[in-house]
Amino acid sequence: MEVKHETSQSKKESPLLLSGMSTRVEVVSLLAGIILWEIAARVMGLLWLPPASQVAKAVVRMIYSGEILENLLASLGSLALGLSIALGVGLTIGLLMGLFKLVNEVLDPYVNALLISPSLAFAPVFFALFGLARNTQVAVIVMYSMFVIIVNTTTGVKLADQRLAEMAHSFGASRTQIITRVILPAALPMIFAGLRLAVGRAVKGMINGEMFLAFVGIGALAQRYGGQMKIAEVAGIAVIITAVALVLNWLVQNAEYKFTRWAD
Amino acid sequence: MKRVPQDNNAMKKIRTWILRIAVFIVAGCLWEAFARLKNSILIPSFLDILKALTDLSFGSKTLWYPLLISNQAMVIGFGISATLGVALGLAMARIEILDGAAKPYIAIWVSVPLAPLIPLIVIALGLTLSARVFIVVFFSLVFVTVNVRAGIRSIDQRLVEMAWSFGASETQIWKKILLPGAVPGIFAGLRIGLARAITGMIVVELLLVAPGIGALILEHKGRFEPDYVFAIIGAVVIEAILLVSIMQIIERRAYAWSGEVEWK
Repeated sequence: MEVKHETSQSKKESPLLLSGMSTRVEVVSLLAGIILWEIAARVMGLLWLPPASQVAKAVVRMIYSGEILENLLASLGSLALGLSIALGVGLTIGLLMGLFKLVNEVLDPYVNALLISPSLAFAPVFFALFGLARNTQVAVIVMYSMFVIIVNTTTGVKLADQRLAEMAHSFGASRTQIITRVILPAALPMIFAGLRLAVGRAVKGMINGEMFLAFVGIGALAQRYGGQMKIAEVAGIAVIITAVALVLNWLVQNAEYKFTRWAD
Repeated sequence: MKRVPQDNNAMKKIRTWILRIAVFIVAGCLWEAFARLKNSILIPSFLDILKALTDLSFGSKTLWYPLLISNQAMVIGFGISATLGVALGLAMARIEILDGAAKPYIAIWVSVPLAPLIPLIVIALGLTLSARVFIVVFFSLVFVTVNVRAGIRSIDQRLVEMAWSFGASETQIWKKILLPGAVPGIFAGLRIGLARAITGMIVVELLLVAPGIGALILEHKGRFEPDYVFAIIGAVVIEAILLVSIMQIIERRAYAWSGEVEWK
């Protein structure tokens, strides 16, 4: 089944990489927005709308005091573990679903259901299973990121050119060889597209999971500042997390380029 | 798809369904066994969860009112997102300068983790229905817009140019080319927006002290009734899957309809 994902459309055109007049409009619009934000915040003096400069100051202060690094490292540890599990299990299930029609037909409704169901809803379940341990965070991250990997791997394997596999077979390739040398490479672009979506989702899962229940981690920090009504800090953390997500996305894109260069 | 004799096809369908149900039962049995072996008061058995779910929905009927309260914000918020999101997407697809000006904000909005910003909204609007509605809109609107815009952008530009050079008015171009062509994008956007709206609803309920199912979960948590907590989560997940599945069916219909129009 064809499934369109939340951000698959928006990823295609990177907003700030277009050339010519379009970029100019974007930059002007962005600068105007920041200036307008700064002025409006200063004029209105609302608690929930700190000036942009104050948010920038909060970012610098939090980075210097070391609290960002400390909490970010804790969060990224869970993220790495969760993503690895999601990737390992997701690739395996996706491969099985792509290769065997029966497996696909049986599991597809469940995978689809878990893909569309709100992942954070399962956080209390994981909390009951694992308690206030890191495993809870890891499980939430897996829940957020695994199903999109499964769906994309399945689609990629299904779309792999059947004739190539048949040709490899008639030239005497074994089943393992066909899978590792023909089908998986052909499915790689789809798998990477899934991984990119998964990374974005995993970051959201990391934050939301930590906000729901944790004492350490960047999400816990955001929750703490939110409780103290320190809004500039909260907005600053959102900026930092976005930067982290962009860097991770860039890493995946680089890996994708390295692994799928042959395709062009 | 290949044509298979009728009864053979029906047999296959029945077999698939039996296997699907079997997977569910096996998962349930595994859960049951796991819960009994662990014998922890935090982990309810599968049967206890089912019993609690029956009681919540048909016995004490305490599920429905909180669910209604939660959905109130979701329905109003999704309505706003759908209206504004489609309008903004259409406008962005057609007006170049607006597209350029809005694009960086859309890109930021898609990638920023929204959950940490919830305290900001609560300070601005209080713990009110409008705050919850706003958060739902905050979660879902941009995903509607992005998909609608991408849907219209994917229409062959030459069609528009040709209609233009044959003297079609802007209204005619919208009626005959853009709107029918935009139908798949609009419905994909609505489906993803709905899933996001439900996510927004859940995030509000779990990360804030919310009056709906979040409060119901807390109430049963306080009374050490994990089976009820799990049952409430199950009910919410079932609701999400049902709603999005209905949207998927509508989307497929719309897709077929849009295909028919194009060929006429």
